Amino acid sequence: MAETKEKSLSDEKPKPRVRPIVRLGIFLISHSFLVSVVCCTAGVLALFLLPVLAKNTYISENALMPGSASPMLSNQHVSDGNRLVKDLTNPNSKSSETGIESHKIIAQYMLDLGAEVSFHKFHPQMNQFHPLHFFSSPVSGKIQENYSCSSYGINTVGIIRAPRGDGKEAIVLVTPYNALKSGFGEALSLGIAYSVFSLLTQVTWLAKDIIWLVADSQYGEYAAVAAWLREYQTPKFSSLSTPNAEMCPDVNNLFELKGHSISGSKFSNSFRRAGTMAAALVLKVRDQNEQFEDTISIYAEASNGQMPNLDLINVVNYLAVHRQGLRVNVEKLWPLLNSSWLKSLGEIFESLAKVAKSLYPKWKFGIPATEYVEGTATLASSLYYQALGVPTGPHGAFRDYQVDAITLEISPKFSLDKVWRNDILLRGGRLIEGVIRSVNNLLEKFHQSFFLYLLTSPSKFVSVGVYMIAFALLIASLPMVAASLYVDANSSSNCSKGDSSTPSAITDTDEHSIAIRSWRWLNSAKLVFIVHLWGAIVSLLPYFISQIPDCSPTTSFMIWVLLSILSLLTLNSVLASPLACAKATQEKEWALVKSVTISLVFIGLGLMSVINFATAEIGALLMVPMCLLARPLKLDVRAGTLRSFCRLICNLVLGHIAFPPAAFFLLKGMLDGFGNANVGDFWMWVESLWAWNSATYLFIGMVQLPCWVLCVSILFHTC
Amino acid sequence: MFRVPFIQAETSKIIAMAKRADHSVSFDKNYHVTWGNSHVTSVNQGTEVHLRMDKAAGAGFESNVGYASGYFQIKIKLPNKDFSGVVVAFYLTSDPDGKEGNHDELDFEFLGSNGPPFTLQTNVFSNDKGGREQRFHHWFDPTSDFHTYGIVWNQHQLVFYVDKTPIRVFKNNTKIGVRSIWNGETWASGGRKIDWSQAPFVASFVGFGVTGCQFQNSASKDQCYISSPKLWWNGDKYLRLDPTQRTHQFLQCWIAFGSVNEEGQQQEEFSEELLVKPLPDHKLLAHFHFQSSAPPSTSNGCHHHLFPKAISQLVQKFRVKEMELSFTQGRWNYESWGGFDPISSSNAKAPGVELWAVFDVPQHHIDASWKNLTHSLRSFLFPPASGNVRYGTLPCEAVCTENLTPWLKLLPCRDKAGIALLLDRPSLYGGFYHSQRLHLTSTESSSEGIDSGIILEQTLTVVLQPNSERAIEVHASEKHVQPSWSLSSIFGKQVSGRCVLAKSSSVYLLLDRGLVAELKFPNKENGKSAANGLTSENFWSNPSFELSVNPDRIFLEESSSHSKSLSILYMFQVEKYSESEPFDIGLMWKVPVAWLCQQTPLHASRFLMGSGNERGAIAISLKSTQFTEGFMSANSKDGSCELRVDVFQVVPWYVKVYFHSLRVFVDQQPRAVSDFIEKIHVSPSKDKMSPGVMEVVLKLPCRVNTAALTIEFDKGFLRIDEYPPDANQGFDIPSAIISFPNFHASMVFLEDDSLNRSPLLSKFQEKCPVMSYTEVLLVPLTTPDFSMPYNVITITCTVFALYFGSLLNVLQRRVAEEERFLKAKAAKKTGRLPLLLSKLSAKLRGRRREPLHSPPSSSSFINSKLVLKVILVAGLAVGWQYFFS
Repeated sequence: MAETKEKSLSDEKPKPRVRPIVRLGIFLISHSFLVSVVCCTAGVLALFLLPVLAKNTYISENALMPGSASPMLSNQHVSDGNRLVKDLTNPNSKSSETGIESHKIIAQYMLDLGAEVSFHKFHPQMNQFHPLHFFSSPVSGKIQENYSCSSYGINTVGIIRAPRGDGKEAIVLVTPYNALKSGFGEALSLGIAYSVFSLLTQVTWLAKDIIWLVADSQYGEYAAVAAWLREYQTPKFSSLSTPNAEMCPDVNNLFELKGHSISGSKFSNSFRRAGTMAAALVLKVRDQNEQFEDTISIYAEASNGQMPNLDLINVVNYLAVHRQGLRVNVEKLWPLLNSSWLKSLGEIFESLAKVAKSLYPKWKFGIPATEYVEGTATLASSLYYQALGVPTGPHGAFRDYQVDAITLEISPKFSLDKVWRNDILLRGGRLIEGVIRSVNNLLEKFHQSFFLYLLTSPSKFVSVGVYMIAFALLIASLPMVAASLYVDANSSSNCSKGDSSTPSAITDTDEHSIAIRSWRWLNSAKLVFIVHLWGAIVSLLPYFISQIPDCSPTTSFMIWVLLSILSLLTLNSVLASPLACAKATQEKEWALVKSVTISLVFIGLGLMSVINFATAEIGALLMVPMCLLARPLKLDVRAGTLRSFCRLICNLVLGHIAFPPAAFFLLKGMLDGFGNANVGDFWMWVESLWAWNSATYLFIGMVQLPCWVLCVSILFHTC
Repeated sequence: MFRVPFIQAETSKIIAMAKRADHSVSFDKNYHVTWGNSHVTSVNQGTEVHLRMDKAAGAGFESNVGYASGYFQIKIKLPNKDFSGVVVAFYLTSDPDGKEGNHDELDFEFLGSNGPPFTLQTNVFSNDKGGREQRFHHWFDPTSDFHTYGIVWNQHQLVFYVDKTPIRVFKNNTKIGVRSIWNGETWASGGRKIDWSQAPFVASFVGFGVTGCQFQNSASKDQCYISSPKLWWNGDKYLRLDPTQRTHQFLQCWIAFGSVNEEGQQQEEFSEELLVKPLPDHKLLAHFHFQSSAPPSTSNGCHHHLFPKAISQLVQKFRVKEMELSFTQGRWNYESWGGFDPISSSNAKAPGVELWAVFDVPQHHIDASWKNLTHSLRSFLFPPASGNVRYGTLPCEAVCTENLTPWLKLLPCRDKAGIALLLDRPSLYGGFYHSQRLHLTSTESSSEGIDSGIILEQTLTVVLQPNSERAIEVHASEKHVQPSWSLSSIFGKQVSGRCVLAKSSSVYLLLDRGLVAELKFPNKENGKSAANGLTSENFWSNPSFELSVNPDRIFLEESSSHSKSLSILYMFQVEKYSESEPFDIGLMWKVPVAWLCQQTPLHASRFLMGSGNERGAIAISLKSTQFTEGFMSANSKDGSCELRVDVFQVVPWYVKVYFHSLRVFVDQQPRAVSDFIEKIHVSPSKDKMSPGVMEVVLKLPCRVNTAALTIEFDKGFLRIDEYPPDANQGFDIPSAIISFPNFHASMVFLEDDSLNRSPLLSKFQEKCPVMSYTEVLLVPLTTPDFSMPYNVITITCTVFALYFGSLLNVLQRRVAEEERFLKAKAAKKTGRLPLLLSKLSAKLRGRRREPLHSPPSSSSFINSKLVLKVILVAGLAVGWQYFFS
């Protein structure tokens, strides 16, 4: 150990004074085991403490002033909205096969209000796997040749120009609507949007233009919104000679509307724009009602764990709770709500807080156990959806263009008969009106409040400064352990040599061997590099596999696994055989490999925490214990003590859990039950990850999988 | 009528002296043009001058200096055609500006006629009293050759000569000068109509030598009346009338050429007008037009009756030839409010402030002038464009009443009388569009920059919603009936008479081409007969609408090539109304009418492309509007028809535009830039200095459906002090100006004499190219976290301290020295404080103190027993607290 070396040296000459910072470093490295245990425990504990440490949300931007104006939405507007709902749900309107009638109805209603109306035709664009486009901005869509007339969607867009505004900014209101098989909820959401829209055409306080996008959701809500945004932000001016939508007879039908309207100038078939988007709201109404209260659910997670500004959520929450009396709901991991261990943990925290409070009355950090459990469930889902990197609704498309957006889903309490319908129209409309009014008040774009946060309830959040502590504690031990392993591996061989000859002789004669020994880590680095290279190859493989036509997910997955193993073996044989212990002198080889692995994991986790914190956090939870504990099984078996036996068990368990497919099935089983687990599911999941350009995919392929392979190779190390 | 001659009855030393009128003297030596510069041509190296007169204007010139006595003569040849009604004059006046009340004047007036006999009228004014006309018939043909006309003036007598023949003599009865000699009556032209088909009328002048005693100041005026060889006209010979003597010249000369109609040109004038126009989308356009004009003045423009002094000072100080300043709020809706009429193409502006000016100073002074001008306008410094034109915009300026008040101060009646009474702030600012504009033109700025006439045009364009009540819209049947309105219902006020200072005060109601076509006037089918039937009653008692006040006149537009139907203008004279009977015009619609305004040939819109904080692109897309198609096809008969579009775009420097990335798409096909861009002028931006300017001349085929220009940019990084206080809003890119030079937005109304008097309508007749402004864009720029500086300072300081500390350490350290020092230290006793500490710790450990050899190794920091003890004590304390509190 370093210490012993120092002591042996100190006998001969007066020891030079060591700087405190160096001394501290040496101390930490020498106690790396203790430090890593303490850090990991503290890291996990801190994660569980986060619901306790969550702060209440507050509105940070003064200009928002939610709820300071009394709502102007009256029953007149509600009945207007009701009229539209009736017209849309009228069976006559559904006669057309393509649902064009309902688009016409909506457009006509918008025109009657004096809004500018246009239709946006789009071809649903399937998400494609672009291996190199993970972090680039969304590309303007490629033109596909095989468009047919039947496969296009129509977005209806209405724009109100602010009467005295300068038209530099706009607020977007999105209502997904499937004209072919619309539920009553969708019609109702249109009704709410229409009632707000009809109010906004009359008000004078508008400073920003209002865009109402009725997104045709027959090819998915997200695809419609994304197509419209693509046209808005990165339009193609050139259209190649592909069959255009204008050629299709149905679309031409659509534009007969022009003739109907007397103020024809308001309608055009060209794409209409307003200014820079300030914020976007996606409004949905859920059909089935299982709630006991009128509830509004907020979905905020966009791609790669990006969140909208917290102020936007706060405004909605404030207005819904304090003005409209709606219950606000954020997504939770439901299985966690019933877990007894979480409850008992909550109770422990509660009682601890009680004790602390009795000690010093100003320490008030406790929360009730039930609240704790709910907070943890919300936090877990918040972490989960952010880590997944897949947007939770159409609002995700906006975030790609740096527009703050959330999805609001209203779940009414009772069946939507006449009275309740009016009530939900009024309250929902007033909520939307209030939010739009607040955003309209904004002079600057959203910047005051947090962008990096985790929600523990609609009105509580954990900011980046707090949740980073848990992560930092988790990974803090990694560099120390790596250093200590490196020192250990070097010094052990050093000492064995030092015993045989005098220290002076070492310095004189064996300088060459020392130089070789100090570069020995390169050998292990080569191994680690090869494995990471393999990881990169593995993450590129699905792109080629997906080109194979008519492949079921299970077979694809199998091909993937086979190819991966094959490539690993090929790489292994081509680039030396690092797994074999070639030289007998390098009995500590595994320690060096572990050291390099750990440092790479540290770097990988650190980078990932910048890109997507939640992924890094979950990854750290899995990988840090595995990396720290990894030790050749042979050694543990040989030792035969209880401690080594425990370690052996832990290693085997962690080795299974940390394998990405295994982790996936475990999680899926926990959430949905183990009954319907299918091998192909993992393939589907991976497919969805790359389709959404999730960085989690890269993380799994390039960090977690190689790390797992390296750890397993350490476990089965022959020395 | 012309200005009256000038008899400067003062003395001075002698400057100019010549024995005879010399043909070789050039015009510029003694004279300069006072008005109608474009109608003066000098030939023969400036020794001969032609004054031209046509329908638009005449011309005049005057001597450079004033004289107190002398012999003044000039050779004149009159126009050799029928110039009845036109008067050519050569006269001396004491007050060329016509400001002083008691001026003196000596006139030669050549009354126009359609052939012999030609009449020469002489007149003498003293103390503003004229009426001493004497008419002579020429004994020769004045139109065929030059003849000399001269006046000798000394303190004894005044003699009018024609070709050395004295024709009229006055005794100078006052002691000095001619101030108070005569009385008289007004002069008239005979009231004959001018036959403009003969225009232009050219009179020629030669012999510009002046023989006179120049007037300097009144103290030395007697000098001009003594008899000396230099002042030979004061000699004895000229005290008596001697026809055989060669006679000599006289005072300051003023030569004018004009028609009787030109009288107004020379006085300060103010006129107020209001144009009201119903718009297709149930709104109403009100366009106020106030025009003040100041004539050229020799007296430094110090005295103005009506004209705002501030403006004339501005013009003189900064040598502004033309300037326009506009404040705008809201957007002009080109689609429903039209873009092809004079109002929309010259008064519809982009939101914010726009200022441009043309200077009349040397090139290197322009920037300084511009800077001073913008400073004195308390505006923002805008960067230069090209030539002597400067252009600047401020798109983020909010416009409010504070901008209106100084604007109103320039009006002679403020908003206390006349049409300006309607300017009710709440209703103005409650409108959808509001643009106030100040346009000034200094008509003629000579090299001295003093004598210039200024025309100040103040316009206010507002778009209002006649009635905000929703009541009408509720009934589906009446949904499309245009709202009825009256002035009092829109503005909440009525006009009670005109501003007494205004020369003319009128209100117009314009029904534009589309509306007129829709209304189908009964006699519209008759084509030309519609013009004849103008005065018939049925033009305002129409089945589809009703006017509450009968118009005083109705004008029909002259047929234009752009449109088949013609617009109609109703004129109302405000003069007729008074406090007791205020003017309040109203329009009642009876049937639903819907029409479209004439739009610009291409509808332009501009937007930002891309996302993120780093890069982006500006796209200008042009779409053909339905209207032009017919016109285009009509014009495209002659082979290749091209539509010229000029794009002018200013981009602030923090948006770094890559001009090479300009791409052109025509009809959805990417095309080579050189195919369609005929000319491009780019001046790249300079960081923190000037913005980038791009001027593009596009030549598009007439049949073009869509065209688009894209240009990429990088968002620059700004220094922290360059951010505005609300940096997170983003930055504005001022709107691009799209103009169509092939198209002219003029409205020519059928000829009528009184039309010439209306500045608003003459403004409409001007041929200005159709222009439209695009939207203002908001570029979100990366903004720093403004609390960052503190963090940055802290981090930077730490890094610096660590870096320099360790560097110094390394540089200073001498290993051998250190080792020696350590040894010496080990040999020596330890210091007092460590000794004390070690004693204390020994006590704590309950052990005897050991002498310290070396600092304790790091592991000895934590002593398990010590830790245990501390924990025990803390636990005890906590327990105590828990159980006994």
